[in-house]
Amino acid sequence: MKPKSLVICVHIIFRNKQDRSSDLASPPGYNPSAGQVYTEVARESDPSHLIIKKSWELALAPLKQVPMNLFIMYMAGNSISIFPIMMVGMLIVRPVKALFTMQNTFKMIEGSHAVGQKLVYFLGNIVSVALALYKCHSMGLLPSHASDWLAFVEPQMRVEYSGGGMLLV
Amino acid sequence: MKYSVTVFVLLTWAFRWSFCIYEDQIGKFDWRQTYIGKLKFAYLDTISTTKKAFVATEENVVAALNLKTGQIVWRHVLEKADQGEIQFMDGDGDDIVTVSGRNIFVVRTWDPHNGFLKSEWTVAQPLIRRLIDIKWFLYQKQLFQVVSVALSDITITAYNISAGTKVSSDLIHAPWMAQDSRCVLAVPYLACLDKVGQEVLLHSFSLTGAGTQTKSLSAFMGEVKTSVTLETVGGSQPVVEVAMVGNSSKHILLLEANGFTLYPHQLPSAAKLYVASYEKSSIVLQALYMEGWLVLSGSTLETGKELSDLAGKLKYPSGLGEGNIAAAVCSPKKDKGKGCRILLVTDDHAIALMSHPGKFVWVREEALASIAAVEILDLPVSDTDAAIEKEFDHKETGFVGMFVHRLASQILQLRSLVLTILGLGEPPSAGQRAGLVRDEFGLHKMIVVASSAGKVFGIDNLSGEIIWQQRLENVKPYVDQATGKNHAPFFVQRTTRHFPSPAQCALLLRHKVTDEGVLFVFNPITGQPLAESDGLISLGYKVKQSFLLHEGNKESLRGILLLDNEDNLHVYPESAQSVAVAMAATIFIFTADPNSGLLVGYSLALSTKQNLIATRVWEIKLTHGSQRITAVISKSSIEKVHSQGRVLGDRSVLYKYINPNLVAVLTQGFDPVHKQFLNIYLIDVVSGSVIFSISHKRAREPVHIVHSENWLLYSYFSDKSRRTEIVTLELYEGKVQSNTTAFSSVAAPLQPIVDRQAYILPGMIESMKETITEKGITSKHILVALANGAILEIPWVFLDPRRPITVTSEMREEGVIPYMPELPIPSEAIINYNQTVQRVRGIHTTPSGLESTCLVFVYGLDMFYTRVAPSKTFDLLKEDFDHFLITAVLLGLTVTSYITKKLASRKALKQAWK
Repeated sequence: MKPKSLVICVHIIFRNKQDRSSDLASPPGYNPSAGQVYTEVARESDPSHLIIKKSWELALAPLKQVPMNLFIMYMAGNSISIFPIMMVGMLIVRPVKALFTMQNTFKMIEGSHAVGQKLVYFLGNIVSVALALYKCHSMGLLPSHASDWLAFVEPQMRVEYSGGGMLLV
Repeated sequence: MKYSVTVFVLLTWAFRWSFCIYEDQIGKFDWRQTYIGKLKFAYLDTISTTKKAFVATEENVVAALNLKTGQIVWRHVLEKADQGEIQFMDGDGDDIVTVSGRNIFVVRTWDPHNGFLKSEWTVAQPLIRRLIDIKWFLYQKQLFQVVSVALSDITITAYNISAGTKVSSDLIHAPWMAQDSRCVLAVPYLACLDKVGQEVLLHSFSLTGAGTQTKSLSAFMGEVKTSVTLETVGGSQPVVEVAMVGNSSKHILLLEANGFTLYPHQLPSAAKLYVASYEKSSIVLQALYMEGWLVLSGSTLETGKELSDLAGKLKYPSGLGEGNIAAAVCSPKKDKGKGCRILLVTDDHAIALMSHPGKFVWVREEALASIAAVEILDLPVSDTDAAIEKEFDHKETGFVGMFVHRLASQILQLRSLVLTILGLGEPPSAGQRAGLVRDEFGLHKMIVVASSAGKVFGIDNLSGEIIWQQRLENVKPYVDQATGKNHAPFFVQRTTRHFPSPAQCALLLRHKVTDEGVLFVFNPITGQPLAESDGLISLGYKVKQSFLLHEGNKESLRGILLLDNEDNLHVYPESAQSVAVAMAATIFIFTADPNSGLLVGYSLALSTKQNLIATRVWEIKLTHGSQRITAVISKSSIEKVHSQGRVLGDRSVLYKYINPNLVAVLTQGFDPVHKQFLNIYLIDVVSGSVIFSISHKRAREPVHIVHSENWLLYSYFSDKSRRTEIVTLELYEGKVQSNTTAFSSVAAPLQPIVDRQAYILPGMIESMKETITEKGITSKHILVALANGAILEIPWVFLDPRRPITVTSEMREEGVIPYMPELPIPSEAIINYNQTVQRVRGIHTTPSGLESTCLVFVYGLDMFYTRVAPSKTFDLLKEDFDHFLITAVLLGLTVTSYITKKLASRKALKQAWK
């Protein structure tokens, strides 16, 4: 399989060179320099720029998810039933997982903006987690009220002991 | 909206009330015993095929007892108290006639076979007559009313028993009847004793044919110096007994139309007599108690000849008190001679049937119809568990010693196991043999009951069987001055948890004559007295109030503090003195005087090492005028509250005001404007401060109060709307707890927030009690004994004072149901289904070993025991849980997984070879 495609590639390159060498007049509206400029720019930024761009994409991915998550959260509602719980679970599990596998992800990020990108990626995940927690909070799943700790409140100790009642005599 | 609310409520209802039992569970967790009370009148019917004894009792009960078994054939409970007081009962083969009531006498005739009411009519009480002057008798199918007025006349009215029409009425002039003359009825004569100078005259007046016979007693009794008593001898003949006070013998006289016949022999004055008819003659039956024996004899009335086949002697059960012959009947025996059946009524309220001469046929413990105190206690651990407990007794032996103990106890266990399997084992202790050991869930307990009749019983809670009984001589219970109810303070000094030492309980009673306090100290499991020989300790002073210390001494025995009427403190046992002194600063005692309305608080803080001193620290006078304190209700001392607050709709917490020293005091009075009114005060008995008070106008008894956790519930009869109303109060500290670790009444807590709500219960309440569980996690239900004999279980949710009138989403979030004034009585919530319980006097609840389950003992005329699970049995597998199926499935799955594993590996191996 591999050798076949290589042949085709070579063939295409060869044909391009042949086309360029022909003296045929250019069709109206064709500007040969336009293509050249583009190729030049592309060629200029090719190795590092692409990496940075790709890295940024990676770094911004969690943040891009945020609007979508907000929409899902809005749609899920505040009632506690199986689907909202599953959604909230996903919302919370994904960024947390991402945060834990951050070292692996950071290996892919290279280039001069690496530090910023790492930070953005991290913050993005944190934002996602915060959103998920907010959702949990609004669903009443977080023990954030006094009532959630009521079961652990110890009964008050009795200081005085009293007894008695109606006169017996 | 309204519709949806109703549906919501109905759904909650259906969900909540689904704890009734199935048909096959009837009698599985519950039992009922029916009683009739202390016997007043008896009549034996031996003519019909199923022989019966007809009885009327002081509890206003008319009943027929099977003469062979003593079981109730039929029973009718008449009106309560004076209204139903039975004045007379007799039978004449076809009818049983009763006369009951006070101002208006209700005459009823009953069918002897099935107890159906045949007729009912009333007779108004003659004006200005003492009740003692009105006598009734049944003679030749007519009911006679005899009204005697001293120095003037005797009115005899005869009524037709079925129609109630006046047959005849005679007014007989009787100027000979002195003001202080004591008259007795010996059908058909009226006999009166009259003192004229030195002479004592006996008048006998024939009620059917007029005519008075008068004779001086000295004519046949010799010189009469001291006072003379005159009593009727029950039975078929008009016989009276005449005894001189202080004399050891007495005479009996047969009244006749033309005078008296003196029975030839003098009889011992202690002998109990009865005249039974036998064929054509009459027999005088005589019963005499002699040191644990009952000596019986019979002789003919006419000649005084002793009948040899009626002479006998039998061992008298020690649990029974001395008795009187209530009724007797003699008949020829199958083989030869004659035999009598004697119905005995003892002074401890028991009813016994003797077949004379011979044995007791049955004994009915009617003392159980008048219970004054109840406690339900854990049973001791089994012998094997006790061995394990023993192991941990030796604390100082170190780990080698412990190990040796462990080995020894396990070898013992093994040995007993082997011996049990071989059937050679040594017999277990008495308690073990009877199965009286603690079970896994703590559901098997001992009900200890003290009766007003001076008897203490130990009853197995699962079977209802009487395990032991103790009769206490010369003691009586205390009487609640406000309500007239009997009660006896019961102290659990040591439970069965302190293994080598036995459990110990004490009962505070008073002496019959001197009113001084008497403590009965006993082992609640065996009934054995634990002090002196009979367990009775005479205190030698009148007890004003008592207090059980909350901590035990070295032997884990909790002492009892007794406050005498001179405000001196005493401790029982003496060894608890040091504990009492150590805790004196934290002990407070209060007393309430119902008549003066004075509440007094005492502190023990000034006690010295040698002396406990009670000092008055506060006084409140709650009443004035006609007002009286009618009830003082404190919380249960064993109660535990698990949840310290209540979660509101916005998820904040409203903390409960749980004051263990809070007491509810009820005062009742009459006011020309407001008619009957009642006040309820919530008083902290340590500081003496009134926390809350509420007043109800036109409200009267029956008032029942339940005081628990942070709430109070009471019911009264509203005169205005003529219905029973229940009011609930809940006390809250607020959204913050002022002190999270300790509660002190002295450190003046804030005034609590009080929520209140009133409900209507369509029924009359006899008694109320809350359920109680081990840790207080399970929700509380209120058990309500209704006058119709049902015991209703109402969840607290329905009585909640926070039930809102306008439903907000926040309230819905909180889980309270919308307010509806009427409380329904669904039949599924009646825990005694069709086992009607009459005249309930009290309900006793106790926790079991299971958190979900509460044991309930209802007493009154009847006894009923059951168990309830307010939050359902969440800690117990369902009864129909299929252990077998689950085990089979688990085993099956394990086996299959092993097999498939094997198969899979084989297949993989084969695959690899391909």
